Amino acid sequence: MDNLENKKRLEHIYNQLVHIANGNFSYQIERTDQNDALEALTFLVNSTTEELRDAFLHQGFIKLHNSYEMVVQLYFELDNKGQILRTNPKVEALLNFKEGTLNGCPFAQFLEKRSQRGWKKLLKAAPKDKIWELTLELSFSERSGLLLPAHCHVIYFPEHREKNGTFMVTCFELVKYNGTDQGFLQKKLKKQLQAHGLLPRPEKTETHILHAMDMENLRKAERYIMDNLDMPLPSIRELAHICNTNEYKFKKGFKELFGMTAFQYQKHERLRKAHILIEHSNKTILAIARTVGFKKGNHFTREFKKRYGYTPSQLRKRSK
Amino acid sequence: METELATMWLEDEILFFIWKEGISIDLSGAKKTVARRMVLQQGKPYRILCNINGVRHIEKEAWHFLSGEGAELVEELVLVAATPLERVFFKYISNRMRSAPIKMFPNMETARLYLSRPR
Repeated sequence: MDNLENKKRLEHIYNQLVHIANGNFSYQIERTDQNDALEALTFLVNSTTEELRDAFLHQGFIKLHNSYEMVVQLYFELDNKGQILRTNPKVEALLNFKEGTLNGCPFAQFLEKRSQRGWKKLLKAAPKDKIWELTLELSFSERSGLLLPAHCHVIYFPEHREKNGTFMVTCFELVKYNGTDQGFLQKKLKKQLQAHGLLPRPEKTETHILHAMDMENLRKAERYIMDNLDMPLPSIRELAHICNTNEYKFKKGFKELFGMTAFQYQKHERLRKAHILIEHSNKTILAIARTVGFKKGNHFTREFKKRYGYTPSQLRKRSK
Repeated sequence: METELATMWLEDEILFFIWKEGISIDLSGAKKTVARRMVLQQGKPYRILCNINGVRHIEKEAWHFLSGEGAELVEELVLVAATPLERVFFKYISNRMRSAPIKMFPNMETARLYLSRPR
């Protein structure tokens, strides 16, 4: 535990936890080839970061008026050899470097090894005589060694008169949307349009049951549905009972968390399971329909076609 | 049967499934591997002995797939996990798997013994 390498690994975990505590879920810890307790801890911290990040996004999607927006996080301008000409100040802050120290350095220096290889390949293979662009995933490595995975958009502008070719690398991040003045004006405009009937009116019942309700309980209901796909759905009252809540809260909460009613969710999962079984097993379609809780074959086929756009037998033929 | 990521075969009504050493499993790899398993099983559910020794990383999307859709036709799952990292993988997956019971053993022999117990 006391050797230098392990100390460094522990330090990475520590740094990552500090970032999480500050609400920054952008980084990931670089994994090593070890499989000891420290590596297990690293994996858990990375997974936790990802889960938290997703949970925050999910909250954003259901709480629409407090949503997220895309902002440019990193912006690099590179010369035709891939050396940094200039960046936005945020780059230095995020990668943890002092102001002005990045200019002139090769871009690859700030990437993690695998991304470095990918980037170098791209530099070599890319045409230099025309404009092109592509999106790829690169992992930046900030100064203390944490990784910052990012979807980057690379644009190349070829030589033009005296100007050498240049690369632009940008990457975006979702951030929590803070109502700005612009947002206020947009809201006002929207209200006016709604008042004149030019936009659909907002739904009145915009309460957020999920805040008041234990998500764990809703998961119980979900699990119950998943475990009993072949059975008819119990009444809403019974489902609410499983969640230790009342019918109204259950209905609202389930819809908010899963985006559909319990009944729709059950159908959704039944069809998904059936799809897999048709693709990969030799059971007859009727037998599959029964296993996932459809009593009649034609009803199953109709629902299946509605969901996937092709019939079960078409899928069976295709997967043979 | 062998794929890029794993080797699998049927023996005594048990499906042996060995992930290769040093691999990192992503979603497309997981999907391909499960598709091969489905072919091998011919639509019949099996008890599965799955060795995860040497697996280095499993991406989040791959976890979700493997413990959800990827776990169809599994009657019972027994994982062989020896290192702390692998034991964490087991903990992670056992919380998510809902379709089949799952157990962990430190080596192939004990796992095999458990699966071939009279039932």
